[in-house]
Amino acid sequence: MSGDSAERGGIDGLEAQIALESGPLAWLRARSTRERTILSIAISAALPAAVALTRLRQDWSVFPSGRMVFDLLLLCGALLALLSLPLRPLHRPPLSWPLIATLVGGAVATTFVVAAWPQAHELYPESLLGVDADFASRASGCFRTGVLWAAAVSLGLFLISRKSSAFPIALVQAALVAIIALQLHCPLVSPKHLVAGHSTVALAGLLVALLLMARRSRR
Amino acid sequence: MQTDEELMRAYKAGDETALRDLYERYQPLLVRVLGRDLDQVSEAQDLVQLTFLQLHRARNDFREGSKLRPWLMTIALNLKRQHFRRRRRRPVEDTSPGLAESTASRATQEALTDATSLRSALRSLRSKERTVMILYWFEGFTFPEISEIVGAKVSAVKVRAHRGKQHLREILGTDVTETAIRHSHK
Repeated sequence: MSGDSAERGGIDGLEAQIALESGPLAWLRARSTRERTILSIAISAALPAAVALTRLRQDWSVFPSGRMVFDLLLLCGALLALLSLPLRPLHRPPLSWPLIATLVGGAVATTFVVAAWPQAHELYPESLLGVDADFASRASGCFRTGVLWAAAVSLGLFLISRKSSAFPIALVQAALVAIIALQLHCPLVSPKHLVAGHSTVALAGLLVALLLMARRSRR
Repeated sequence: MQTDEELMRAYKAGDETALRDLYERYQPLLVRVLGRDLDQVSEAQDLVQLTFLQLHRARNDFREGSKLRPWLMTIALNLKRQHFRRRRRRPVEDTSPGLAESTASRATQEALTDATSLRSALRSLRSKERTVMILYWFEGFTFPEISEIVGAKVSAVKVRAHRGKQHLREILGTDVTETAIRHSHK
């Protein structure tokens, strides 16, 4: 803020600023928090739904259903815990930083817990790949796909985000969505692959979020 | 005269003059509350403008039956918090000329000294206590309103007001109610 902006201030300055806020993006961000929460859920659900419909994992028929439900419940629970953070409006009292850090850190840790769980099955030959010579190539392939998917989801979340200060948390949210989509798409079951190729997407999201926040506080 | 909530309803419905009325009604209060922690009057004015910009952006979040005053004050205090976080410092122990002094410049030298002492005494309080002190003792907000603004129980807000009053009394050597009456709305 500067003295110049104060000179431009007053009700006339305010009205001029409000006049600049037009167009589809401003309209979208002016939706109520309830509407934006529904949009956020829709954006988060779209990618896993599209993957489930068009690129479902090849071992789906042999994957233990109880284990799949358990994994998805944990990942979706972590996602739901984060969902309201980037959308929390300024007219609500702020959440404490320790609580936010616990929710974000807990969500990222959950992806590692799910990945490190014992191998789900050995019933599909292709599910057992990605542990020897092809470990790095398959893990990096999943990581790249996850990052691309997370980028697409975060773009959607950015469109409904009113506060740029809260957007970094949306990056972690987008990374979790990408991991859920990978869980529905990638047939590999080795914990080593899941940790290196899937959970690292959440870690990358967290690192970018921290970088953005550090950069913002330097400004 | 229309109530704040009626004006807000009118603004949501597209009456742009309602924002002007709300601005005129709340600008002095917001400048006073924000200015107690800020070094320059222009900083407080900028934050007030941002507060109303956020009011505009969040207008569809304002629900029927809500009160505007705590709603708007929460936005203003959140923006102030963000402002300080960005500047990476808390508003403590600052002795540069500020809003309290500039608003007191019309008063006597004694009043100016009082204003300076009060400002630095307020700044020595914990942030949670300071906010409650300013809103309750200096601006006449009720405990339920402050509870809504800071997101704490009414009982916790009362404890903060009581402790803050005790701390101010220790620092200033006078009762805060007397000081508050002399300095409120300056």
